[in-house]
Amino acid sequence: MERENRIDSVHWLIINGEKRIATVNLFPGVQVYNEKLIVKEDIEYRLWDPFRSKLAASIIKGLKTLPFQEGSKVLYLGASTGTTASHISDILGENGVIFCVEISPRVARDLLDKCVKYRKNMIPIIEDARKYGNYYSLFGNIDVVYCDIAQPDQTDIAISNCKHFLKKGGDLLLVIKSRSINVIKKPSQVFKEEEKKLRRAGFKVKQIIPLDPFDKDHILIHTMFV
Amino acid sequence: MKGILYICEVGSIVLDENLEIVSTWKYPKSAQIDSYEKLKRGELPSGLMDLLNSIKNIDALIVVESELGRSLSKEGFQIEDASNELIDELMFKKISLMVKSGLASSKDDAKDKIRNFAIALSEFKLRKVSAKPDLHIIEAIQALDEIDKTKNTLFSRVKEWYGLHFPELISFFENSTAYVKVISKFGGRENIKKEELVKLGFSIEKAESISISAEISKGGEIRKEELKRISDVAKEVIRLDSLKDKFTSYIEKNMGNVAPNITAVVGANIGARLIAKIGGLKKLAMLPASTIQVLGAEKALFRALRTNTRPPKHGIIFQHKAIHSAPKWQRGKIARSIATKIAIAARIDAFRGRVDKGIEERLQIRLDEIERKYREPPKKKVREIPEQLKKKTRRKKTRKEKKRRGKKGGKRE
Ligand SMILES: C[S@@+](CC[C@H](N)C(=O)[O-])C[C@H]1O[C@@H](n2cnc3c(N)ncnc32)[C@H](O)[C@@H]1O
Repeated sequence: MERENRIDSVHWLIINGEKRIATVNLFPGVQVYNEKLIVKEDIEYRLWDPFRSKLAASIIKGLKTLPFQEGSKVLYLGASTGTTASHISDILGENGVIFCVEISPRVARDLLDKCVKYRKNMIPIIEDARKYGNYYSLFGNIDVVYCDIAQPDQTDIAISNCKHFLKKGGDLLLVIKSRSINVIKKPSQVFKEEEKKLRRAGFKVKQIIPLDPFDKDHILIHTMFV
Repeated sequence: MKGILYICEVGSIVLDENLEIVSTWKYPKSAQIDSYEKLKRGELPSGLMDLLNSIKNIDALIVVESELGRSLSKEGFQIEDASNELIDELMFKKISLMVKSGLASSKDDAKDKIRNFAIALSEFKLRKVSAKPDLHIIEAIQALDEIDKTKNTLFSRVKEWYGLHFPELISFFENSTAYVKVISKFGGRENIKKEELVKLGFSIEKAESISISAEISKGGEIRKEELKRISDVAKEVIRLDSLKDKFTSYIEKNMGNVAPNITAVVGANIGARLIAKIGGLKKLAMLPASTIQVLGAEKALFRALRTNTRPPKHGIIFQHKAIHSAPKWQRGKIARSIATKIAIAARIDAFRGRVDKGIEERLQIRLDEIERKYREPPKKKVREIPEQLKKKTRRKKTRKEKKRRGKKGGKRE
């Protein structure tokens, strides 16, 4: 199942004989979701839990390239409490920016207190991703849009956000949970339809990764906006 | 020449069509959020008017925010909506525009300012939503009680009035709504037919006894006009009953959002009453479990303090099924463990906001344990009674003393 891929910003550590992935903690000493902190040769790493983060799951399941790196600008839709967003923040480093869109004030509380407060590259936007016209504080060219909002119309939401903010040639990482789109249809059917929507909107599909056993009936689609 | 009005986090800028800065208005530092929100809503703060009046030879303004555009055109400005391309371009160049206009001293400073503003605005939004929903729940639960009270008052009226005509009917009903429904459907007792009752869902036996007792009723005759008036009131009772359902489901839905953990522990109704009693979710979250346990039993509590008798073991939470259906000797223990869990749940709801399934499970485990451990009533302690009596008499003395002191004109505590 595990394929060790070469993504420079993601580190593979051997913990108790097991291979785990981790990112370098941008704000050493502070945990975001009770993840383990590990110091090796004076560098503090945060273990990245594939059961808590779908991006971690997709890396372990063989995502070939991470579209963002040190200094990139990312628009994250559905940042929730910041589990995944914080690891992206680690990777972007101080010169990058991650705009965290989240609709629910209840989870945004943790996002503010546990991530944004410490991480200078995070900018919170409490807003519905459908109302991208209301995003305040967005600036510059967006290199990557990451979307995980578990809504039936989320592919459309992701597409319209990309059309507005994503640079040409930029990437969209879209998590699809078949159950939140259609409970009755077969997951494979749902995935195919969402993929078609993306192609029709001018996205080139680079890779499709099933996320089981970490998340059942979920996939991550990596596409490029051309 | 056309100008472009660009609203930023820390100030507003007027640009010409080549995106060169024409003029800038920096918001007062203490009122950044306020100014920004006002502008987004389309209000026209004096600072903005000063900015616009200061610029010369601009005959049309291109505006990004449509609300603001509308307000300005009412003020006589020539307004155009910004094109999508322009909006994108402004966003791409936002940082450098902020530096050029003097709103920020450097690119880093601009980024810092944007981030600080984003945090402040997020906090502002969170405060705005978190301040309100529990207050609405408080109003709703109080409305629910008032509706219930009104319903009961009117129900008693129907019962008494219709009782003049058919006093025996009420004895067949436990539930007030079913009783008034029968009255509003049939009117006079001579119209109450067995078959119709069965159609309404009564058992054959019950339908038969009702129709027989209608025939041999001791009640007096009644005119159509009075029956009509009684039926008017009866309909109101029915309407209030369905209103109660509406409020109950409103409270359930909103408690599920505002206080999901409290709701999991004691249900929406009791949870809402606790919040209402103390005046808000945050306030409830600040209380120790011992206070939560007797919340709503203040009268009994003060009586106990005054007379130095045993304090009440439970207030509002007594309505919890686990307490009032348990044997007397277990109730205190159950109340205590429920109160403890409510205290934890309230803190999570007020400050963390996540659903913690563990609380409910741990409560159930504890309730089962109490049931097992204390199945038998405790043996009465013989000493308990004299000890309490002693305390009582001692307490009385002090009160008399106080009185005496008061008469002498000494200061009261
Ligand atoms: C599955 S969770 C995301 C988990 C997150 N990506 C992580 O891995 O840490 C989905 C989030 O999207 C948010 N969401 C749902 N609808 C949204 C919308 N229309 N706009 C913005 N956020 C939304 C939800 O509040 C929730 O926090």
